[in-house]
Amino acid sequence: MNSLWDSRPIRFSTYAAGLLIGAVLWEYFGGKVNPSYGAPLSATAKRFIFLVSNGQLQDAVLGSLQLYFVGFISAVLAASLFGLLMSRLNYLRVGFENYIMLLYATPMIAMVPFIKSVLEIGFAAKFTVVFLFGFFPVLYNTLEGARSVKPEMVEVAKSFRSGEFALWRDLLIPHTVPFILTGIRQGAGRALVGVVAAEFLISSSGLGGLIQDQQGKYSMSGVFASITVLTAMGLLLMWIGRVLENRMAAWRGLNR
Amino acid sequence: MRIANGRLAFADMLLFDELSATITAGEWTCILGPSGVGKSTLLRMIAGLGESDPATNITASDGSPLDQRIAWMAQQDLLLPWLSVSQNIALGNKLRGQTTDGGHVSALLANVGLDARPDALPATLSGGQRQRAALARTLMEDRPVVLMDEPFSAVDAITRARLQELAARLLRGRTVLQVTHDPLEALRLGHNIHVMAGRPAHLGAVIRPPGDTPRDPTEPALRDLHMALLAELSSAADDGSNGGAP
Repeated sequence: MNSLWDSRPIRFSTYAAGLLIGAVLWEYFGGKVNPSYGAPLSATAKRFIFLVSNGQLQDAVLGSLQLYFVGFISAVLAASLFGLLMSRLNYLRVGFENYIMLLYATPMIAMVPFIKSVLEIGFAAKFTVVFLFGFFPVLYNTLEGARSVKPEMVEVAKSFRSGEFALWRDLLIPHTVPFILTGIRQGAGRALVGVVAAEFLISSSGLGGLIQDQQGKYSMSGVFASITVLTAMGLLLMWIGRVLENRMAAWRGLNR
Repeated sequence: MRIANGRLAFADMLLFDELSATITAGEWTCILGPSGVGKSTLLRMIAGLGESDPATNITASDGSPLDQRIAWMAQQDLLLPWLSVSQNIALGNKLRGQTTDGGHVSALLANVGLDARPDALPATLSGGQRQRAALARTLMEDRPVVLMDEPFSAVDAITRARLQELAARLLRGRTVLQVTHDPLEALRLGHNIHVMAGRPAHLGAVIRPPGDTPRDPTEPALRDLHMALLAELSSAADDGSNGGAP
């Protein structure tokens, strides 16, 4: 059994066959249903080309990406810094721990109407939604990481007469980076959900707006084309997260 | 080095009180005792790590403070897993913002037999190699006083014997205070041996095995001492269990 799967051509052709069967099924059943409920692959591809040719799709992708990166990068920076601080300052940790658990357990999407009433419908409101979607996975993992530094390691550093700054630079931060990266990988997908949620629920823009726009025009092929682009973005972001994690945290894999 | 009135209590359990000892400079002293008696805690107190009772007074015979002159080596190697062996050896300098003499690092690597693998990450080394790297890191600090908390207990017997030999050679002339639960190790390495026992614990009178270190513990004179130490430890363990009973 193993020897069969060791062969690259066999693995590759099985992948390809799986994808091909999926495409054929999509084409077949998509063509059978009422066009306002679904669209076959060929119509989706055609609509994709149309949306690219009139520039609508690129604008939507750019708008979503901008919201995504501004919101998520801010969330990563804020969450990792706050997590590291919390791990060193006990009163901060004890004071905030309950709120973090509460907010981590709260489905962030439930906060969107509240954010909309406070911040109205501009970029600030959308930014806040994406930020909150991405913030907690990174914070949670950073805290886990910073807390898992062995106290003996800190003692060794202290016995070397390390100052607090060097302790952060040479021990706490390098130790925590792999955990932050795990948080980034988890948060990357959530932040993308946040982007679409903000574009649906705060005000129509980006890919979320394009999906609503195409649905309004009863163009299921346009809806599917937009969803496919979102899927590709999700895959790409997950891949970037994994590459970063593997590259910057190789020692952690060795230690397992 | 003198410890006077050493005292430590956790909640209502007094670990040791009015514990005193004199550690001879330039010699290897072993504190031998059963698990849980407070050996490691005492060592950490001397190292200035963790809690200490204000009554405790640890002084050096020359009167100058000890804290700048102590190097610490623990049971686990505690190498930073993301740094190479040579970066780990130079860690103390890096933490203090000092520059490291690469030649010194290479010489230490050669001394502990790791000169072929300066760039290896700790996870790719065996337990014995990691502990040798930790020993080199301790030596890099070049302090006159070296405190060791069961440094060889996490490796197999053959590796342990080699590490003991290496440490005895490389740490000669320094004031070493080592905590161990293994009487054979104490007999192999210690110029002075104290048994720590009881609750609250006290340190027994110094035992000075004959001959130069590292000794061969199968020598007849040492065999008798080994039996005596085992007897003392086992009676201490009995005392401890009686004393600890509710």
